[in-house]
Amino acid sequence: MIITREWLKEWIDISKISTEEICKTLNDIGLEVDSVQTIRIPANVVIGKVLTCNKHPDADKLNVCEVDLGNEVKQIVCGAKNVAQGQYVAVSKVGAILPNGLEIKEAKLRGVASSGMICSSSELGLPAMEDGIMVFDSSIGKLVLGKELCEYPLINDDIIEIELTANRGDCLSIHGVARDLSVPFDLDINALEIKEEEDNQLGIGRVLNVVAHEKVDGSFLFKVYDKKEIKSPFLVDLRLAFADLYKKDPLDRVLQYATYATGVLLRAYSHNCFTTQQEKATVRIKKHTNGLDAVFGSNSQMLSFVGISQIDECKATCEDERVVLEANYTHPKIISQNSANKKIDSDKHLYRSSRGSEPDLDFGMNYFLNVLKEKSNVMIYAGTQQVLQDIHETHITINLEELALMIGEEIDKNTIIKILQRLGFGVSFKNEQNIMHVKVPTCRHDILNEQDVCEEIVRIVGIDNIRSKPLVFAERNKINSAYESFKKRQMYRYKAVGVGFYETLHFVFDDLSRIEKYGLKTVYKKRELSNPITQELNTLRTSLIPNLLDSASRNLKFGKKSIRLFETGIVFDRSRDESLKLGFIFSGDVESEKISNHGKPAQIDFFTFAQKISSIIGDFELEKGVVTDNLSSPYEFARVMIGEEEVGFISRVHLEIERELDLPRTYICELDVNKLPYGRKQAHMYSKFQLSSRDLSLMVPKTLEFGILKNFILAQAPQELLKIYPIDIYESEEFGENISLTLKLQFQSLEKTLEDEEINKIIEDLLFNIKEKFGITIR
Amino acid sequence: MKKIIKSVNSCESLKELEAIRVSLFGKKGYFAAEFAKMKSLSDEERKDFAQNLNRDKEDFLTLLNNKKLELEAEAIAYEMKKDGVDVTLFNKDSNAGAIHPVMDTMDKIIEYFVAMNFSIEEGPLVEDDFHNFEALNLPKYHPARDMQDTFYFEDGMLLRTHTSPVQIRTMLKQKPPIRMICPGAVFRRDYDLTHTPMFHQVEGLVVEEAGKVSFANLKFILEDFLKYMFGDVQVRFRPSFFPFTEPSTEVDISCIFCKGEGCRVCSHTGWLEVLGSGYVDPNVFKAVGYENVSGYAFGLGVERFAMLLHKIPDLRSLFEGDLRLLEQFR
Repeated sequence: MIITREWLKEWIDISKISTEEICKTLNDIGLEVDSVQTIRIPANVVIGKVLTCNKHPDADKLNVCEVDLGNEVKQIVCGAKNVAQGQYVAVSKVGAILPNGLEIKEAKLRGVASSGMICSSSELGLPAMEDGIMVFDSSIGKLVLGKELCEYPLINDDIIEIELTANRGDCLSIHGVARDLSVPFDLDINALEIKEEEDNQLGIGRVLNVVAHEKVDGSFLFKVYDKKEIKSPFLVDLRLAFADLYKKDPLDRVLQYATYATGVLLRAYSHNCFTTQQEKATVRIKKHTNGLDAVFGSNSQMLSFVGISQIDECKATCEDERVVLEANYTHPKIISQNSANKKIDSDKHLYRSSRGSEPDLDFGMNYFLNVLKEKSNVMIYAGTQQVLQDIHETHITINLEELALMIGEEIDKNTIIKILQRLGFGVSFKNEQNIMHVKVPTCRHDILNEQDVCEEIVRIVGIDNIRSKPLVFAERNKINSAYESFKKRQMYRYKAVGVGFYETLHFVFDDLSRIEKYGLKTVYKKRELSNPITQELNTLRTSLIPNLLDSASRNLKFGKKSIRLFETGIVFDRSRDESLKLGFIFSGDVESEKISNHGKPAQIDFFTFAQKISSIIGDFELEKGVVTDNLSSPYEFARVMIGEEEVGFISRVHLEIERELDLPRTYICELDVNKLPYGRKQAHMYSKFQLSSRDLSLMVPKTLEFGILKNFILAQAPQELLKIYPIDIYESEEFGENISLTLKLQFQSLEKTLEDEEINKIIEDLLFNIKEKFGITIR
Repeated sequence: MKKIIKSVNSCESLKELEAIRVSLFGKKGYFAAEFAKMKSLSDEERKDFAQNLNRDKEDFLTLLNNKKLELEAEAIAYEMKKDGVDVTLFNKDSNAGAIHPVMDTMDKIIEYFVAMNFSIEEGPLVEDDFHNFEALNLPKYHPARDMQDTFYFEDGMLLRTHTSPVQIRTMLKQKPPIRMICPGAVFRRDYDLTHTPMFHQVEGLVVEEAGKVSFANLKFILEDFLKYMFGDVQVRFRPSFFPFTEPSTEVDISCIFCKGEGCRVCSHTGWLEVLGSGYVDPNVFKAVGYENVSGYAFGLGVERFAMLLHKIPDLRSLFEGDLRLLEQFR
């Protein structure tokens, strides 16, 4: 909503208050100021009158004008189409410097001398209006030839843009904002001057009849005029241009202006739309089947949805001989309820009507007629035709003690009364001094209860003026499962960072065609997003990996060689149920180039990657698994097992995807956060005796999985065999179908230090058993 | 004697020093020979002789010991020097990772409110109309619904447009007093330079019995919180409108870049809008069946906080795993 300082002055006397102060106050009372623009016309631009206007002898598009500047007459060549004799215009004299930096100098245009320039609005830093030069009238003040334009305050205005919250329909007009501002400034609002209707006018009844169905919700007021000439005052045009509402048609301009100034919804219909043959027109107002009030013309044609739209054919223009004017009001709740989710074309009225337009129809109509009559010549029929509904009055009872508890401090009772009265509330006390009865002004649809009234008081007093107070509350343990889940997640995040991964965030959306290509699950069709924002984000993600792959690929293009990313985030299953996952990606070099690796860092490999994951989540076992999607290589894929539970997978990215995304060797891991351990660990008995170890090189068939061998050994060996792990693999042609696998075996007893003979005996048994089972021998 | 002292002082290795020690104190050494001479001396002479000799012996022992310590220290220094490095060869481009600035900001916000005895509450991302709108005093026809362009699903569910539905879920599940925050992702159908379809909010709610919680309490915690996050800033409260609070207020801090002088970040106003809050609307309490209670609520955008705190220029880069940005937070 754009307001201007001078426009506000129509209603309140703010001449002694600076624009800065006005803006601060607007912010304080909840009308947030977005921007302030100061219009100042430069010096040496004056009012002139075009005395003569003749075609340039050598240029079709130019005119040579004699312009009276008060104490001198200048010859000025002007290129504007609309220049004409008798106009009052803005003349930049020689020496003027225009806002765009242009300096006006003596000039010759096609051989004709020109001393000065007749200006358009944009040349002077004003918003664009009609094509061509500005033509003034007395609406900007008395036109004095030669007077500097910068001395006309109505033109040199301060334009303030405010952002209105959805509840403040009452401030969608200049009058409304002035009314709100009048409270903190403690100023009176000027009443609208109502001009007496002239005597001997024909009555409206001769030309208009209004028939309203009884179920209609809205209130209506109609007037009719016969046109002689319609013109809009220059100031109206200028201010509409300030508010970015300039219209081509002068009648439309005056209508827009009156609505903008008063908040009353106004429409103008061509009288013909309501007549058949006779002179008298009938306006019919009925409920449309969709529940909205609608205005119907002749032949039952629907002309407008009240508060929403009007068909173009019946919109009156300055050319119409006879025009029906309508002011209307409908409660915003009725408008919103009936218009929501129905595809009805709407114009600017809906924004106002759904937030609450001004219900005082007389006020809007009278203001409109005042402005119209300023420069137009019209015959207005006497009287009005009206359809009025009772406007519901809201009464609220307020306990002043409760009010003080709500605010946190007591506001002086007289201050409260004064604020409410200034805001247009009726205030009364009956028996008890602490119980206040207020009647809400009809324009404040948003005020329904005690807290709404509290807000009015608080915003005028100023929230900044309320003293802050700490809340005293009872002790209570707040550690719940959500807190533990936060701490758990935080722990894993920080561990991941410690191992060298960067935390990332991605949208929970994904591209359906991509995840289908990757062979991942997709959300059931009937639970799919119905209004995605783009093709690439048209479904919910069912895995963290695709987005991580995307980011890895992007980083590669930025020249990164070692890409280590992770994310903790929600993914969805087919039924759209949510679960928290922890996803990792490691792509390219295992570390940066440095002296220790002679500038040639190794590429990430399965075991290094798994080691890093283990540094984050602790001990786990890897088991072979079957790949169910197209993301992982089937030859480097493992299920991550903690105890008996599968918590996720580790794998290399499928070579096809690596190639498609131009990725170097890349590994991924996705884990279910809920299945990861968190919390207390139990210590178990440990031996106080010497630990012994032996290395054992075995000839093992290439086809035998180490996991099977290891499990077999652990199952066979006595508990003195503490640990067994591979430390070297050696392959040679002479081994045939075997490899040499070196294992380290650690022995320890809880009761004593083991003798060499005892260890040798265990190994002997073990070698016997694996020879029996697998045919494995010592190398 | 002087000759021996000189040779000890110029000695360069422990081996040489040992040779000198043997020549002095060995079985065939100087002192053995000298003490042997005592047999031939008279008692008188012997006393003097022994005294001198013992003094010399002490002096030499001290000398040898000191030299030994010196040489040992030199040997260790030599060993260390051999292993020494040019520390400036260190490549600071380390292998560390980093926490995401948005998540880090979220952690800090959570830490504050946990320290203020707020509980953390969670809720689903996929919500229904009741929890996301209806119960929050946002009936279907409410114009304020325009403020939040919503993602819908085929079955009528939606992605939550704010973390406020968690307030409703918590109030339905628990009894007052309530003192909670809800951190999490929220979604709006908006995607341009300053909007992403997903972002993060932290929402807070305090509910106590009627008359206990005041607007002044809300002011206190928000001022304290903003000073914890942004340091020494001025805090300004502007009346505003949210359907679920009444009175409502938007909270600004003095611009942390220009100290309130006016700059591009604050659009030359000197203020940065950082929070929305208010006194809980009675309709919200009605929707969850609470009677005779009072409360306040507030909500903030985590990305906005993170961008201000870390001077991050581009919102979208936060969601692209961009290492050029993330590496700066190591």
